[in-house]
Amino acid sequence: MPPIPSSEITPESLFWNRRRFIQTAVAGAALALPGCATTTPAANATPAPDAPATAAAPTIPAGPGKVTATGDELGQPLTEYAAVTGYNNYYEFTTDKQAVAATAANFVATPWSVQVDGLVAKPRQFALEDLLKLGNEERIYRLRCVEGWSMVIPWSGFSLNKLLALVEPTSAAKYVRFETLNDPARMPGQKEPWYTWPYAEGLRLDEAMHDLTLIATGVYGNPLPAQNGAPLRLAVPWKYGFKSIKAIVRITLTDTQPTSLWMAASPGEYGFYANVNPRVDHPRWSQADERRIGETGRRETLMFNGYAKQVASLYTGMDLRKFY
Amino acid sequence: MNRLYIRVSAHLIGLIPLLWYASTLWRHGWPLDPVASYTAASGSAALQLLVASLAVTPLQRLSGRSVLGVMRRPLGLYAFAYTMAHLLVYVMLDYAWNWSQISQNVFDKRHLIAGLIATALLIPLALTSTTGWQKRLGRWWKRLHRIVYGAAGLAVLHYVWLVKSDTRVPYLYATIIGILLLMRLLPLRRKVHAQSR
Repeated sequence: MPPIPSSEITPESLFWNRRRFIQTAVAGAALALPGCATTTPAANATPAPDAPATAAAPTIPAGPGKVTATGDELGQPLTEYAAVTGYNNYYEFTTDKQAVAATAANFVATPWSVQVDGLVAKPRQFALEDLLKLGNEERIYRLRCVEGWSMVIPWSGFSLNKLLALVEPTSAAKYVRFETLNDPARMPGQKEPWYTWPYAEGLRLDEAMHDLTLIATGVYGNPLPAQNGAPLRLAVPWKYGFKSIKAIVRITLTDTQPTSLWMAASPGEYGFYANVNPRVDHPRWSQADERRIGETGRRETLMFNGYAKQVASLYTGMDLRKFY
Repeated sequence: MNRLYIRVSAHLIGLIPLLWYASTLWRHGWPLDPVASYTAASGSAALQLLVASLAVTPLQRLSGRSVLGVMRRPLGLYAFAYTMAHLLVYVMLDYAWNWSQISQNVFDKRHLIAGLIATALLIPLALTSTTGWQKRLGRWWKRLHRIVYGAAGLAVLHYVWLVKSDTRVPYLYATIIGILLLMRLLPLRRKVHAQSR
């Protein structure tokens, strides 16, 4: 009997996922009615005939949307949709990666606005709708988590530098600080006192201005689901995943290096730069290799997560062992 | 009869982590990162069964029922089995037998060294767990098997050192093991102790 090529076999996770999809679809249908009634009271009121249509929360389809690419520029295939939207490190909801999607299911991300302030000529509060107009490019990025696993993810969004150009950073601005929504009622994980909320992250201004630095507003051809950081998050592909802060409400230009949540939690282990670097181990575990979600065995981790050509020049002359 | 019930319940306790894991799969579906899931589940199971086996003697003393001692061997062997499963997941699934990657990691990282020594310490204990070896080794058997506290301590250290930040659960294990050890050291020797075994 000829061996069955592995491409013909349904991956175990996909098989299970179909079952789960049916379960959630059924549960979702059952919840839809009361959900509408409690979260959008406006829908019950009779709108005036000339009233503008209320901005409804974008409904995110249960499956992947339209994605043109099938892999990254290195020929590595996209990580399955189920894993990208079902396996998330998002402590604001829960530390159980596979439970984030369910815990965040009722998170409503609209209306949303982002305060951009600090050392800028034109501080401004942006409505989400205005930010969405800045672009919707598809970007296939590798994501390498500091824990030693990785994915290839089709994001969509716009380069952060487009947004920064609108507020005009002053010459004194050296760093950009990002902050996540702080709302324990909507983000139950923030009731956990172990960490200092809200989540904060930072980039050097030149890192923030780099074309690769993306504000992602969508994934897999859909608007960003709650578990991936709705409605907008950062995607900095050459840094460990924790730098790519989710559900951003505030962006502040500053002259002092911001302290991130992880730097505060464990300063000896999580630095400001957090560039993916196979030669600089986490103090307690190796960063030389990584497990691509969906694979067994390990891949060698690439310098700057494979983006060295684009970003290495940002760090010329720096001791990356010291500035980890 | 009583002995039989106790023996059966030891096996049930030993199987709880496995059944619990099966129910997790049933409730939440197949893990999206199966390797990480198997690693965490087998590691926790090994530690839980190690704690359970260490609790037998204190329980015997507190309850005055020496017959509970028959639980010690099955619980210890379940702990060993889960440890082996944990090791196998690491070598076979996580690193797919890539020895150069494994060796590059193991001898470099303290949590892996601690885990490896803990595993190595359990091997002679599992091998000498039979009644035959118990008789052959005589009073040395008991001394040898005190190593289990070293293995448990190293297993907890392995856990403390590998968590990303939140060390509460590993320290809970450390506390429980510490209390169990204290209970053994305290001169709470009842008559029943002399009869046990």
